[in-house]
Amino acid sequence: MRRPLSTAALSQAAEAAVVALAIGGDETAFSELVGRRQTWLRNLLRRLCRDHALADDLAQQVLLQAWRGLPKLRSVAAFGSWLRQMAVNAWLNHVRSARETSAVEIEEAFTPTPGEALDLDRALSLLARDERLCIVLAYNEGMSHGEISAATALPLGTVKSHIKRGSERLRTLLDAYQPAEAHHVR
Amino acid sequence: MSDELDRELLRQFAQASEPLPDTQFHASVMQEISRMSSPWRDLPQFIRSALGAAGSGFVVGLRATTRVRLGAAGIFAVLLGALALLSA
Repeated sequence: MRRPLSTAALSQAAEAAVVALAIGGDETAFSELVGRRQTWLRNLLRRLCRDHALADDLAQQVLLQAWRGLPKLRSVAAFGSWLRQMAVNAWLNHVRSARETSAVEIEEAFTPTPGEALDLDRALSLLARDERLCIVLAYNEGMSHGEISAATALPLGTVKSHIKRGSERLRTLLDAYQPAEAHHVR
Repeated sequence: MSDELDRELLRQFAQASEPLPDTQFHASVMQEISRMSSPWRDLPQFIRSALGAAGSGFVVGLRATTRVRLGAAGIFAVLLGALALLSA
């Protein structure tokens, strides 16, 4: 039988070891994983969601799902990618369930005017769903086109065109909606 | 390289990934997990199921012994009576 590690020992331990303890039902080990992964997970979902509160709700949902599903995790080394896939699925499920209203909301909720600062999350929210997903997985997660295709079940060619067109559109959006001072400085 | 990405966008994404305050979020997640892991977490569901099973068993037994045909209102009344007896 495994003996639970102290919090101090857990904070020094390699992630694979902490994941192995959490798989065995060690809540302290899982708490350590939450501490290590929360910023990454919440930031990933913040890039995908328009709403930061919603992103945090989804992140919490993903972590609870992870706690329940840990015994099914095949490899401790795959914990990060497993968590990411759950985050993507949670976001897609949310978007699908809100599909009826989302298209209208995007148009109505935020229409930037030139001279207004447009941050990354706001600019991302103006991209189409699949385009945004591919862009976030490529730029935020550093995933290759092939990995994105596997994670999203989108054909490789579609992933490539989403990233190409999405990058161009994102650059255009971010460049067009700069604060007035930034235009003057240039 | 086919996976080449826009450098300026890469910079903006890196900049946006700031550390987030975690105390409240962490506490909230762990509180939910403790609740899920509690041996008592299924108690309300267990009580509801047990009461439901006892009630329906009582009604079936009553109908079988008295050969009374009970409508929905009758079944409801009998269940209420059974619950009152159980809680007394």
